Amino acid sequence: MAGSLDQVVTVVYFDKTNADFYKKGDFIALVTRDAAGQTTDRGIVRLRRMFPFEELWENISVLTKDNEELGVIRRVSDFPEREDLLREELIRVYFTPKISKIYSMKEKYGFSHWEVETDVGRIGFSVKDTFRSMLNLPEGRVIITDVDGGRYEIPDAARLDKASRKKIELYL
Amino acid sequence: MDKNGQFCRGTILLTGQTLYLMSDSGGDATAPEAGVERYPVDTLEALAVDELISTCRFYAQKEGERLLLTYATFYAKEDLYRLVSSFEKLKEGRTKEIATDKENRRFCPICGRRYPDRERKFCPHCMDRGKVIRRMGGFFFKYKAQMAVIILVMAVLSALSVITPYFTSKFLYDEVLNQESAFYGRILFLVLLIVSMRLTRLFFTIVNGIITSRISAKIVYDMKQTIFSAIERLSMGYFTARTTGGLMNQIYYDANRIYWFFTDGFPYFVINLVQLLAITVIMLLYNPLLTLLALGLTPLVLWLIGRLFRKSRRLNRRRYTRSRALNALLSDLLTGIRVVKTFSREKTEAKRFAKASRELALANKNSSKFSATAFPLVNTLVYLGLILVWGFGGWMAIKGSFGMTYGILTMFVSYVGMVYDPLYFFVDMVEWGSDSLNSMNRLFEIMDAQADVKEAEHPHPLPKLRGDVAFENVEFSYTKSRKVIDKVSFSVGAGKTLGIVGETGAGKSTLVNLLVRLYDADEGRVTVDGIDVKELSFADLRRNIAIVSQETYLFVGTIYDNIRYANHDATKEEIIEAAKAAGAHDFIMKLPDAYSTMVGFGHKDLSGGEKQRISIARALLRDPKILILDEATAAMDTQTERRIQATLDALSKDRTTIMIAHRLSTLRNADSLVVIHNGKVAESGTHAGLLAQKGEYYKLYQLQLDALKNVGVTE
Repeated sequence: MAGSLDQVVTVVYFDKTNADFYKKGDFIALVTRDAAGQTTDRGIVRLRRMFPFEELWENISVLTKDNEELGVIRRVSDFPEREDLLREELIRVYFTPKISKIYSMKEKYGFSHWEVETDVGRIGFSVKDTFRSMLNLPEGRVIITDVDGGRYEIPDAARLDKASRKKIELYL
Repeated sequence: MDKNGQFCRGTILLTGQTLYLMSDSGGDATAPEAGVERYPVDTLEALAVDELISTCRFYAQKEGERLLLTYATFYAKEDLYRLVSSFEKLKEGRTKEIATDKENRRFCPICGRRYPDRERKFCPHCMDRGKVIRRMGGFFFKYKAQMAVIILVMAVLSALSVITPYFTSKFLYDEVLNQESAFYGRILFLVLLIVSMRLTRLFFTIVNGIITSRISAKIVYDMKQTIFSAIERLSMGYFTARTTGGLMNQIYYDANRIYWFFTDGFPYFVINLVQLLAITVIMLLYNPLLTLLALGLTPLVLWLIGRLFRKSRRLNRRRYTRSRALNALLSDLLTGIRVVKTFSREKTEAKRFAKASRELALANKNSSKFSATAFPLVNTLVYLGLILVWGFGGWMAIKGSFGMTYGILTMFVSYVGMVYDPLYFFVDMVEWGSDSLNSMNRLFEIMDAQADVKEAEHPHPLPKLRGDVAFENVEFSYTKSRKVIDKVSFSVGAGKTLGIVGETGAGKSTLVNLLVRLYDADEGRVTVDGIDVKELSFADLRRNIAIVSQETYLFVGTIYDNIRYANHDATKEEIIEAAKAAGAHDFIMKLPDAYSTMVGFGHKDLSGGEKQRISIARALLRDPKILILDEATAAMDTQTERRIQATLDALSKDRTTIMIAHRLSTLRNADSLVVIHNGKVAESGTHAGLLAQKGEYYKLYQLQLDALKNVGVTE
């Protein structure tokens, strides 16, 4: 179709043929290859999920330090040799403790104070305006944002133990 | 967090020579210097923070490469940014400027717990409740006479309700119907007594109602007034840190809740308490054993009521959120009905609505079901207490033991029934008592909040302003993480016109905010006539500067009122002149009500360009020495803009004008131009000079020229 969107806008999709990632210190860096086979080292890049709540390993935007998009990874498996590297970086970027048990959740004077068990150990945090700081996603997933902007995830509220669930029931 | 993203406690220490990173994670904790890493300052070029989604990466630049120092939670984010800027100053040898601010305390000085919100330095654990209530009481103290009357009236009412059962039961059965009593047979006397008690009660109830409604309106007015004047005093920063809509709601809600606490809650609390005590004492006097039996179940009932209330509140809250969600959806759909129809999504939206509606129905059902089952259960329990009284009391009366009579028995029955209402009240009071306390606290916080931008105590006198404006190495950031203005310097002489160019978000409007001190610069100086704006009084500063900004705001009122807002002493002629100069007169005269047209929220809706012209008129009426036009003509068509521009050019002869614009053509006649890019001055000079430089300005100019050519317009 003439004048269709894809003729006007180009989204650069990265795959094995035009891009490669490598580890640079503790960061991830990108090398691109143009049609002529010429390679360019783009240095350290940022990875951001386009649909962070739905797709963990697909539609990853690759950005420069100034948040300019260089291209998009359709799925990390498009880079079989670099898949582990990409996954590792994404896990780092989206690091979110997963709550498995809620010891206490007390609401007082507009703040709630949480004591929880997570996959990285027992932690406590404070949440401001509890109701609006809890994002309810499909399948019982809940994302909680604390006063500092730190995030915590309940993978499935329905599968929490009864005592834990009761403490947060009101906000689901 | 450590380098591997594991949680740990850590400390980062920066000395003149070395950056130390210490943590308690990993390694042999007993070994000296376990978990300590050191980096000589000379080997590092810079420090930086990379914000991830919920954590950040703290790294250093070393020999042009990035060196990961550690991961950190957002909790440490601000401290890291401070460290980055301190490091930068250390590198530049400006060690004296390194801030050692003790202000930024995050922990409660009394109990050492962390403040839940660092914007609010308030610790819920150490809050002195008594103090808060006493302070709040001050509001009501003004009305102490009325308050005293209310409490007195309520005391009379409760005394009446306590003694009524005595006359209707004890006195009736044991005296009037008792042949041995002096009152035997005086039934008319009793009836008259009861009727008069009833009438007294009616009288006092009415008095109470009248006084309460009269005083309550006053108190709410008082409180809102106090809060509002406190708010107006605060600087812009306070409002940007909080959403204004939320703030307004909060104030409204808090004021009402506090009012309610003092007019309904607190007096009833006192009255109920007195009533409860009085009943208990009377019952104990007549028959301690039966009292014990009758009230023996109270702790159980109290506990049960407490539990049920909590559950019912939970269900109610759910019902409330569901209904709010439904309302939001409904208003969303109705406001966007045009979009719904053009994309023919009616069916899906109807389904979405049905789902939300169903959920509300379910919540309603649950909540009603609960109150329909739970509270009758409690009532039965209360009834059980009554049965005990009937049974044992009856037995005692028959035996004639414990001085029990038929009259006392019926009186007991009435009293037991009266005990439970106050109990319900107390249980409920606990919850909203703490809510009200929270509201009070928030209000005091607003009242106590210090304005970040403080007026100089001894302002520099400034009778007449020339209009020289200068920025010297100004730095500013709204949040620690991003400098909006970075070492900006420029100056504009009195009577000259300066144009500021730059892309959206480059920091142009922020410069203006700094000039009029809506915010204060973090570093550097902003001067007017060579005097730091911080040394001028707000009145002097703002009287001489007028801003026409992008966001124009018209208050509810006539167009005339809105223009006159800048100068209440202006005559009608002056206002018309100002309107003419701003190109507003013509469109105003097209409106049937002309200058008397009501505008603002809920009234005649003017277009963006029309509003801008009114605000230009407003600014011109002020006759300022410094006029700032921040995209003031952006919403107008080019022709209108040209016309107004010509007037403004003529008017700008003896005043300093700062113009901010996207359309470069607007700025062509400016005496000098400053191009702002990412908070820095990219280039400056005259229109011709900048074009010759072929830099940023040239690029922008070419772009806009091309765009115009494309649509067939040539400059």
